[in-house]
Amino acid sequence: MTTQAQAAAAPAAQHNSGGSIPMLRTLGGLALLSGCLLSLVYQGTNERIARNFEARVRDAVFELLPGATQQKVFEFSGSDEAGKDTPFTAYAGYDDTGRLVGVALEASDGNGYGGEIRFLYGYQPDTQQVVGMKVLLCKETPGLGDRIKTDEAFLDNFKALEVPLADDASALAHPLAYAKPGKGGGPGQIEGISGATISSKAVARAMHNSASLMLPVIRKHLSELQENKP
Amino acid sequence: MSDQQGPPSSMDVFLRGLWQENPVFVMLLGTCPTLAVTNKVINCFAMGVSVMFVLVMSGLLISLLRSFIPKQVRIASFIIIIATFVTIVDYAIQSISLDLYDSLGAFIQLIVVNCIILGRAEAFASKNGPAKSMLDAVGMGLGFTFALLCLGVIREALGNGTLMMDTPFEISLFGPNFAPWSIMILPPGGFFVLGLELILFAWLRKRREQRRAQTAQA
Repeated sequence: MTTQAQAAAAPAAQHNSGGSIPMLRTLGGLALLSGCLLSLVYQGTNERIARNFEARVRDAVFELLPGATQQKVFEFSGSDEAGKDTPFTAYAGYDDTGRLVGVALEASDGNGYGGEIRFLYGYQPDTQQVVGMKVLLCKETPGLGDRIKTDEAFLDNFKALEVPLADDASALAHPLAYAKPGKGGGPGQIEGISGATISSKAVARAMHNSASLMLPVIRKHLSELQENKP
Repeated sequence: MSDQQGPPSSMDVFLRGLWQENPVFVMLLGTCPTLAVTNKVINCFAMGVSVMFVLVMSGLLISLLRSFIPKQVRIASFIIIIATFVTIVDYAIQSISLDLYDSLGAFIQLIVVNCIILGRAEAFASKNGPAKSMLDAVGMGLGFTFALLCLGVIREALGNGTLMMDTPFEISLFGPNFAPWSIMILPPGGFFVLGLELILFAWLRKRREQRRAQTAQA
């Protein structure tokens, strides 16, 4: 059918350069060519890009857990607020003697100003503190929202953020929440950056969701983390 | 200009993009990435090379296919071709360095709508053979890279006191007592430096034309 239609259309197209067959043929051919080329390039670079991401996460874990010289990856699963089982990854860091220094955990929120924000934070189980935060993925506005990566006052929120668990160790003792710049200071309050409210709120929300999901699980598996040194 | 009579020679085609018709300083095209990425010399290099790659490859393909592409869908076809090469560059930069990829931000993907590339495709590659189109693309690409570096070197030197920061070849220019003039790294610095350099290049061009007029009179 198609060949007949093409054969019939070809002479018409020659007479009239405005025929739609040559246009379709050109665009279709170019799209096909482009698709083939891109899938080749994707296969060629895919592995290296994944490796670069892994290296970035590994570096971030060492940066977040001062004193850590070795690390090991654990897969755990906890139930989120809706009771759904959510798997997550914990990057445990150990010092030279094999003592557990802390755990780096991932948090993300899809409602930043530019889409998803993803970051790692370091958690020390013995002091029950978050000891640092490092952004992995951020599409926020350069100069405004992306200050969540660099703003010192904002990052200071995460230098020694108390995240104690409640007595039965199944939830956080107090929620982590966004506070207006200069108005924070209470337990679990994360002071935002003025001019980057949406981004700061997204980070605080991600921090709360991730901590309330993962920290009880980490507590439960603490001995497993301490004993299975790399 | 001297090359008004007859078709321009290969050398003219090449040099035009670099100087007489420099995309940034003369045609004022692509000023958005120019202002945005020129806060570091390494970004200028990466952006310049990326744009040059896309220019050369799309110029080559478009000039080869120019007689097959119907006039009505030429812009759509050009965009498909350009977008393909931009995506290739995007993957390539991600696989080379994620930090570089982050600091260029969305501007790599935005090469698709960079008017220098579509402009050259429409004005040159679709009307000339592959060899000349590539020469034109290399010239324009070098001209763009040159313009980015003109801004980047000044902005990084004044704004951070270094050249080639975030690379193994970092050079500190003014010693440890230098107080960085950080506005140069920020967006206003881009406008200041671009404005000053446009004045400089316009003045140079005017002076050369006056001198030519004087010699013609004499």
